[in-house]
Amino acid sequence: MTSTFRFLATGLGALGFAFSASAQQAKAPDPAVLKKAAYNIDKHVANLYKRKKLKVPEVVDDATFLRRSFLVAAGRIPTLEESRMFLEIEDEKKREMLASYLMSDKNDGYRSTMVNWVSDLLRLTDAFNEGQAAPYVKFVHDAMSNNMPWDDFARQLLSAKGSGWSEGNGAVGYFIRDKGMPLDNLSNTMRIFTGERMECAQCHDAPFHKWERMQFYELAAFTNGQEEINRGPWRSVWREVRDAKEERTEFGRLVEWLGDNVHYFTLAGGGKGRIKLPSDYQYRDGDPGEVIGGKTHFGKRIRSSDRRDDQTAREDFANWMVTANDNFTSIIVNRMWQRIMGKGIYEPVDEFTKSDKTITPELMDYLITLMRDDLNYDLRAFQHVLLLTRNFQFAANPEAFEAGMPQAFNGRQIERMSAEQVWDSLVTLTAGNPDKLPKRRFSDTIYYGGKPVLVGQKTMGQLSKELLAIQKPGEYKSYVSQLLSSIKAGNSGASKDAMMAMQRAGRPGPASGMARASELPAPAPNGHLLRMFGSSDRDLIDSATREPNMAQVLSVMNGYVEKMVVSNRSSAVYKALEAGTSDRDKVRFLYYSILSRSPTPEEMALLMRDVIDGSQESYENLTSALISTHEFIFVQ
Amino acid sequence: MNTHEFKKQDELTRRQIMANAARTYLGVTVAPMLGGTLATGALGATKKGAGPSQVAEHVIFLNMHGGMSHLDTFDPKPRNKEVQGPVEVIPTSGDYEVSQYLPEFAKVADRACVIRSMSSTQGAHEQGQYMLHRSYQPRGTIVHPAIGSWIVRHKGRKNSTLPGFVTVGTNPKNASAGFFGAEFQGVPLGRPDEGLKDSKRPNSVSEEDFTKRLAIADVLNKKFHETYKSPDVKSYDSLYDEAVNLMKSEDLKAFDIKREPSSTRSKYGNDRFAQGCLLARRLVEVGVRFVEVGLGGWDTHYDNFTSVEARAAVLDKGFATLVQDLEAKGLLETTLVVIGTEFGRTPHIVTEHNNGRDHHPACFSAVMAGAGIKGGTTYGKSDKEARRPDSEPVTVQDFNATIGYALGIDSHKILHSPSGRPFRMAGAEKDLGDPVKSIFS
Repeated sequence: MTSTFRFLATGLGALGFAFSASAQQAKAPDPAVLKKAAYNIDKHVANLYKRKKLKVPEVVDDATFLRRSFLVAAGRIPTLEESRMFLEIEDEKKREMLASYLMSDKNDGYRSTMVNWVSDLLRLTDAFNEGQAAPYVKFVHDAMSNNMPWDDFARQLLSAKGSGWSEGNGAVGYFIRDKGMPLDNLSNTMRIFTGERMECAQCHDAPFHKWERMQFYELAAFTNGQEEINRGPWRSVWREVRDAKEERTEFGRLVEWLGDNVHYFTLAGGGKGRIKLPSDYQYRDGDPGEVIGGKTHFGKRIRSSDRRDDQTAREDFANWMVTANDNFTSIIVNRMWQRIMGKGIYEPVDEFTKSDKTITPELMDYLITLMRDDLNYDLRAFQHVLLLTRNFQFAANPEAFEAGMPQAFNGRQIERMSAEQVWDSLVTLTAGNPDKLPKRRFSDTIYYGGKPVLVGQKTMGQLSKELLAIQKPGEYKSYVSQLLSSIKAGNSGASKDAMMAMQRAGRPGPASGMARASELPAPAPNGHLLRMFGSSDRDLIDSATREPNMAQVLSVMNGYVEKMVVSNRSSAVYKALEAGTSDRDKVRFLYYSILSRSPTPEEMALLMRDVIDGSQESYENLTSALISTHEFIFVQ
Repeated sequence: MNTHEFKKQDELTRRQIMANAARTYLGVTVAPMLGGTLATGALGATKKGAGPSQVAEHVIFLNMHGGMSHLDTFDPKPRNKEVQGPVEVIPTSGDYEVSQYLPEFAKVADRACVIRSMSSTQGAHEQGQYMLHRSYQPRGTIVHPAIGSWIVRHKGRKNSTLPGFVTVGTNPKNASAGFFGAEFQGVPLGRPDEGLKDSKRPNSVSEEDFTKRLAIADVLNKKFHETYKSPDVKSYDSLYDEAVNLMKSEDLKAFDIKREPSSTRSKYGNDRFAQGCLLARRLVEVGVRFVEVGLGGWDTHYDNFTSVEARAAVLDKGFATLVQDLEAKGLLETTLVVIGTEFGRTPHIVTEHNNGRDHHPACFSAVMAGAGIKGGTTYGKSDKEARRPDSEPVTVQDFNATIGYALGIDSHKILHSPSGRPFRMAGAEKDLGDPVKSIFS
């Protein structure tokens, strides 16, 4: 070991680069198992190349590998320190070490980027049509943070019931998100978890698709019956309020608020398991208004009765979803492949394709076994495996076409960064490693009229439990009156400790300003850089776009980049100027910080001759120019 | 001088600036990477008199995304309470009635034609909006250009320094140029009151430094270009080029609605949609071909009547003010104002969902005004439940062909994608749209 390496290895250790097993990592799969799996994948890919009689692509250089790995696994570019550590170390294992660093649970980047990914998939928003969605958002964030196995995650979303405010029960939000449109919700469920596109069959037998309307309704039967818990008493009281035209009184407002924030976020029963055919049902196999039972059409056949309401139909459906069909694993495998390699093994990534219809059935089958049986749907471990493959290291295909091999195996296509990658990278240039920046805060404090109330006396969980237990309108009314007077009496009853604790915790909700995309309001507000670069509005599944437009260019030239990064003298990117003593070092470190590589000799010569005169302005010019390059904004 | 030459000239100036900057600041001679694809103009522009005869210059497209209930707005069925629910009708200045939610529209109804026999084959939002904007179904292998992009491609730009088309407060995908490339791309704006953000050089950068930075980036991009032949990379080049032109444009102020007299601004009101309408008028005034303004919230599965009433109030005021303002400015004759949506909503009222209405692509309504449209009229009828078109059906492709017709565009003209596939503004061969000519006077 050279002395430089010792120094850097210590540094890497400080950054968490090393393999050393911490208590938490003990839970993680054995690195040897991951490496073996990566080796197996590469063997299948090599066979594919052999079969096609094509030359296996070159692997990328260290700098490209570094930047690609960070963007893919942590959703941002590396910092100066991280680039330096990696680029200046000489160790044949450093690529593996980098993968471990990025996939360590100490590294927040992975969580953040998975939150973005799953939020686009689930169309996650901070508010439902009525009322706040915070516990649902918390459920999703926690699941990514704790690396909840994908089958558990799906099962919990699909079988949740009760109040979203009950401790740990935020998953109910999955159905509340689509309240009033349970059929669309089912279409989305099928697309997300099984890769079957059923939205056409919602209204008619699709001539070019395999699904019939009857089959759609047979599936919808399982999740049918999404009533709220105990809305009756509320409705009677609200009717009284309306009849007396008292909607705008203190009492009226509180009743309305309870409807939107407590009752709305509830799901009664466990799914009826049967459903009425719609009034415009048009085929011979059923009559409009006829009640039919549930039935699945692929994987294991399960049914529910058309005679009586079920209690556990959603749970049965959820179990079928995650254990009893081939689609579920194949789709998540394919999505993870796309996340790491840029393209799915089959495309569109969410249209299920049987293994034997893919270009390499052996590989697909292997990946399915790996995900389901070896890794038990541990998405982090699975992606870690992919990061260790040679396939991940293939150089980007410079042409805009496939050349005989699907892009999933052909070296990725260069692609513009996603909106979140752009934003999180700019945040990194401004504030350094963003792991320590503010995050979303969650709380079960009651916020009424924008203020915390009844602190230390009642939480949202307690409030909803009490309210949902009330059966009689009269009782409901007096409960609300009492609640109102407690609120008006103020927080005097709150213990000092509770108030202090709350102040320490800060206001719940998304972060603002300098924070990672995953911590900002969902969806990002119109006009934010994230939206200009095409982040999803969360109306539709995966609706983010990477299309270029002029607003982006203006924002780079005159907007966020200039105001947040370049003209801000305390930006983290300028640490490069402190780190280097000579102008050449400073230039090199700016390159490390922005493009994650050293300048070429030609670039250095040109810059030293014509651009850099040692002044801050000349470095600002270079910083701005480097961020404006295609190399910055495209992932190679 | 036609717009084509205009553009070429700017292009040269721009290239010279870049080359000079590179020489001055970098001591190198470079062929600028920027703008290599820009020197094309109005491809396939139709000569006056050939085929279509209408000569509108601009379109303002009001996109009611989410699926606007036709029954509760432009196609009420007051005698059929079962499908109509609690909504009443009111008379208008035109030859038809509308729902009580549209009192301001009623006053300008004599300028507008309501089409009541629209239908689409797409019952999901994503596909529905895609077809509404592009006349095609979404495909995995190609991205079709949006209607604004078709118009810029066919007609060319009217103002060479401004973007050809602009969208406000709607999905940025609606500004897509698809396979036409960045030159025909729209500019998606998030908020109308913020106009075109960042279109001025910030005070923190001198003119000299600004040019220097561009020149440095340009030189550094060279190698990347040599390696990657991606169309997206090229697109960013054209966009930088255009952005610099735009920054110099005299007409940039059109994007700033705060320059509008306060009397006009208060007429429009403060909501985003109305402000978007005002911005649309300002942009049309300086020659932007196509402006889309979005109004969402129409997906009224749950509590339809409360939601539609609130949405309709916003649409009502915005549309009426826009039409009156365009007329006062003498722009209504050359501007087609359109209200469109991806589908309608079911006649069936879903009581379990607090009186909601579900998606209904089989029948819905649209509105066209200005640009020679016969005002005060209706086209097509729906059946007595507003469930299916009863006469003169209009597909989404017909609708887009009609927009093209208003502008004198031959929407059947085939243009090819870079891979050589043929496409038309009016859609694919099997469901090719035809313009509804009889609604023009």
